[in-house]
Amino acid sequence: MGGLTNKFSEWAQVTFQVPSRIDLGAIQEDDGSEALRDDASWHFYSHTNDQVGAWPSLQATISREKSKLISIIEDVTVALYSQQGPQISAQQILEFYGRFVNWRSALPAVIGNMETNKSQALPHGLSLL
Amino acid sequence: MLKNGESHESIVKSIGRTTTVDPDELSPLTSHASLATSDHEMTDVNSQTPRWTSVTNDKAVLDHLFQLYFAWIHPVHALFDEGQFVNSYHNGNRYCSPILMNALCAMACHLHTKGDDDVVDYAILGEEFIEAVRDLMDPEDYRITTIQAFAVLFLVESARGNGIRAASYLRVATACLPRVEMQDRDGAPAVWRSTVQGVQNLNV
Repeated sequence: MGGLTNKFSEWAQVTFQVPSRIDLGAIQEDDGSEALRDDASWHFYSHTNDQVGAWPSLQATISREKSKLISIIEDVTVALYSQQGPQISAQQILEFYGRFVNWRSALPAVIGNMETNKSQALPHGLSLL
Repeated sequence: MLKNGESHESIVKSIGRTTTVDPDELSPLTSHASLATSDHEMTDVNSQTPRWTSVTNDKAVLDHLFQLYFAWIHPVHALFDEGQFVNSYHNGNRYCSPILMNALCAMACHLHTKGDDDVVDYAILGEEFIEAVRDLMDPEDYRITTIQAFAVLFLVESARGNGIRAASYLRVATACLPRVEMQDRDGAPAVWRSTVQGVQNLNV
């Protein structure tokens, strides 16, 4: 998963293209299925015939928070890698930093405390931290 | 080169394939493939599940690939609604398709940890799945599952280190999203939301 994430940043740097934006609009509204998706089981599976336990995947929550993080990263990418060169001031850098810090502090506890709580730490949750 | 009177087995061997145990499993309509354990009852081995890929009909292999995909890719890059996908997988509905299935399996092949007792070469199998996806590509195909397949191909090519090719697949998926016609029925909003959010999160 780490290798895939690094490839995204490298692509942005190499191609100097503004990432495509899709108007999410109303699709962000929850139709009540998020709770079901959060409760769906996740299995630590690696090898054939692995008999492993299951934990709540928290998929909907993690996807939602990831979308917020991606939005901040998009804004930073556009500011840093525009075709006219970096168009960013020190004040903007501080604003971006503040957005990242606020995002991290606003994470739901079930994800935000994943490093320290006693329940199973989900890899896809840890990838946000 | 094929010879007159050549047996089925020798032809299969010459193209590097293996003959199936049961000829009935060559039917393009049904198979008894079961899927990974999940909350959506994917292991009903008695169901008449449509056959979604021609690359392999080995139930154990497909189970293994789905386990890998839903453990390590779907939670991080959710590109489709799992419940609707599984339902369509079993019932032949609109939220599963051969191109998506082959793309998904190609990604999962990349996740396989090679073992000394492996019967299947997953590297070769992955290449076959990718080839199957390419054979199914249609420039006029704007189904939601095709867009999902292109997004999965982005992940496949990124994992293989082919950034330029990966970026092309993602651009196609992103550009084609507005052309998808999603009717408001049968879980379409959940599928649409998952796909748009998933593709958006890849565009970094």
